[in-house]
Amino acid sequence: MHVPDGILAPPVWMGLATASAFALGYVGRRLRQQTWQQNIPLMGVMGAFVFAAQMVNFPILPGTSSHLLGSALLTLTLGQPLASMAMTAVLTLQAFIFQDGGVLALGANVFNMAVMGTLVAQWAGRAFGLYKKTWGAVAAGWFSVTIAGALAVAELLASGIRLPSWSVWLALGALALTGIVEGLLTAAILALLERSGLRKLETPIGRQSRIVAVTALLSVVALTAGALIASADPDILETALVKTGLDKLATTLLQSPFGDYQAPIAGPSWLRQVLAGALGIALIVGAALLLARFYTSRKKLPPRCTTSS
Amino acid sequence: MHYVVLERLSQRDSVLHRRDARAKIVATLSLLVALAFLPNSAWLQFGSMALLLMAATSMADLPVRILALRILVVLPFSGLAALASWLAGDPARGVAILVKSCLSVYLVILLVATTRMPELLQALKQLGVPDAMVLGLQFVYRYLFVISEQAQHMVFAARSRMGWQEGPSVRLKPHSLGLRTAAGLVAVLFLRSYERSDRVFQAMLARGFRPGQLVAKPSKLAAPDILFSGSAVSFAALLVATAKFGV
Repeated sequence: MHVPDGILAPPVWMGLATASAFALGYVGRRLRQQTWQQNIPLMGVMGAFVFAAQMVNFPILPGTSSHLLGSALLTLTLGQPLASMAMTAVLTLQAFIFQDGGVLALGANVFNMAVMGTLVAQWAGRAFGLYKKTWGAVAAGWFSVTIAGALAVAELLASGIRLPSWSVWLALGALALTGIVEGLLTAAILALLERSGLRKLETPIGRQSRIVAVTALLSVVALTAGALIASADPDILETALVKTGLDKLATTLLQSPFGDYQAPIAGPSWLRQVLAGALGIALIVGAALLLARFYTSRKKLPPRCTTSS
Repeated sequence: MHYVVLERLSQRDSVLHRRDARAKIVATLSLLVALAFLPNSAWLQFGSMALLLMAATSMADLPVRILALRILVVLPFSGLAALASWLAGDPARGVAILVKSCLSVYLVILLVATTRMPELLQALKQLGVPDAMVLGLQFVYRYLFVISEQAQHMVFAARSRMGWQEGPSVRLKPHSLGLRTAAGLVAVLFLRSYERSDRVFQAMLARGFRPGQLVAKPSKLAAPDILFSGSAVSFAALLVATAKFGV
């Protein structure tokens, strides 16, 4: 799932690196409001823990084994902001020391696993957690792995790499299977942690409004599926845009700031499609978040990373 | 552990080892970007990049066999992507994917094998990466070995309780660890790491830790460093320019 260098097209890794930088900047500001000095050793040691936990292999099917990826586990124990920072540190070191994932592709890998992986885990935990905590943990693990992997596949397709459709289905199936194991493991580990009486870990499951989580989760799933379909077959996106009249809006909005940016990198029509897709995604996410805001009055969040005595 | 090899190589001394870490990061990034922007059929440019990297390897006196083995790390992912691309009827792109990803990894390996980790992190800070992130990276790197070793011990212990003697590999036989055992192992590891982070923080406070304080002393750029990164950047620009204007 760690995308190496030399595969993604420049617009794809540049765009995702920018998105990740903004997301991490936001997260960093939120962490800074808390006692951030304490968070640094926590983030560092738990990042090292993720490294080590990935060395423990367990079976999936007879003959194949896998290991924990850990973003869901960190999210449900440390909270999304800290988990996202820790996963970023892990991915950065993996890119440099292990050469696991590329350096230019780091932005894309951070986006898939450290940003979307943790966000989706948090939302899934909340959305399913109200029924029973175990289901929340299973869902968090499943969504974090599956969405991150599906995003990686979509990025490959968006980079213009042609994949046979059966291989895409095969990859998605394998991801769903790994996701189940990740979910089961996350739930089992959380149950054990709870039984061990570690009260310091406040699980953020089910504490916050469920409708925000469900809306956000659904919109991410829809967007990932949309990104997969659109990058596999850009014509679908174009016809959809033309039908809804969004294309005129997109071209007028995009023409001015990006007008002379198009020429040097790629064919203008291709770049315009990518940009139009990005704009569409931004619009849908914005609308979903506004809708969710409208339905719920958000109270001030309590600090996620509780201090220990 | 296998990734310690590069760390050991970075302790050597050569022209490349002595360059400032910032200069090496800038050089690596510019060559990586040039590779990313090269079209799929730029064989001349790929070849000259490979020659340059091999020259750098011999200049830094690095063992070729170890580096070659490390480069193969990318094959699981890029090999699959290349294969899929080839099966979809685009063999030229498949080959280009392989070449580009191998050269990119080679670049990163050269950077890591000639730069000590503290210098690399210090350079990241001087290049403007936020303090919190650099500190976090430092911590992960420092405790990586401690906690991996702990995990290794626990896996050995679990294996000996279950009667497996399978050589020094960390991996358990796939069927020897059930989900439940693996979960228990990871949970205990989690608890130990979490408690360790608490103790580390107390120790830091006791020693007068202030945020914004980093250990390594800031380095200064010398003329050879600027020359080094300057020539790398211009080489990268030359590659892209020749490829764009069809040489």
